[in-house]
Amino acid sequence: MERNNQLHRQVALMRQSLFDQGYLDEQFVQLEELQDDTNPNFVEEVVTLYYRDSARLVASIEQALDNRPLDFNRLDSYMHQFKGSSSSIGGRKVKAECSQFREYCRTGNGEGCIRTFQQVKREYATLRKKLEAYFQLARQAGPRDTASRST
Amino acid sequence: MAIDGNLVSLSVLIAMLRKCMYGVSTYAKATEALQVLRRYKYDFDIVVAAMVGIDMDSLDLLKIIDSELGIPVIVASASGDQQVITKAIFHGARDILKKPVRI
Repeated sequence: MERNNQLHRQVALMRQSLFDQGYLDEQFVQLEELQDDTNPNFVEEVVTLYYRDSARLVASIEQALDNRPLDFNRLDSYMHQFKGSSSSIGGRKVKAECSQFREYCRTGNGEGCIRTFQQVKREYATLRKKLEAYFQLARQAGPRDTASRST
Repeated sequence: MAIDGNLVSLSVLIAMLRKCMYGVSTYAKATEALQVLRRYKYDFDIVVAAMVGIDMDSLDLLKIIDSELGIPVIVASASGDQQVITKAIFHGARDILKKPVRI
């Protein structure tokens, strides 16, 4: 019983640090609020969908960045999608890097795009790792009373 | 009915509408959605559509649904641009939601 409480505390702390360190924003809380008995794994399901969607978009962007001359409209369009899905799950840092990339598309700055894309990928990888660790720990801890939450 | 080419934001939208007790039909492509709407127009109370990424010009979609079918359309846009918002209302949108959508 005590071990279980400890696990729940750890999960809560891990969750809080994701917000404190700026990886997640309030949109993630929205997802949590949509999770209930009729939809018990909603958050993890949406995040998993996000990983699949992102993998596809990253591959497309990488390919587009290999073409010369760079098609900024196409790049911007892909990144618009990536920014959209990142913001839908509350991925704050990823979203910010996506915005920066789009800014470089707007000004036709190819080098800027290529450079920023590395940041996008890095932030995405970090977010993914942290979320995977979080969900794994949450699963270990098991279901709990979700009456109170705070960010 | 929810229309959005971005599957992640579509999933969130579906969950929100269901939480508000709506039954939801979903489409990633506006052209498919329109076919269904035309055939079953009396079955749908409202349409929530994304502005970008739906395989059709969203303003055309708006005009068609509003004038031809008379179903209220709410538009979801990631852009906070006043021009975008004004255009959408002008073409028949009943309301605009800023993405990411909150419940």
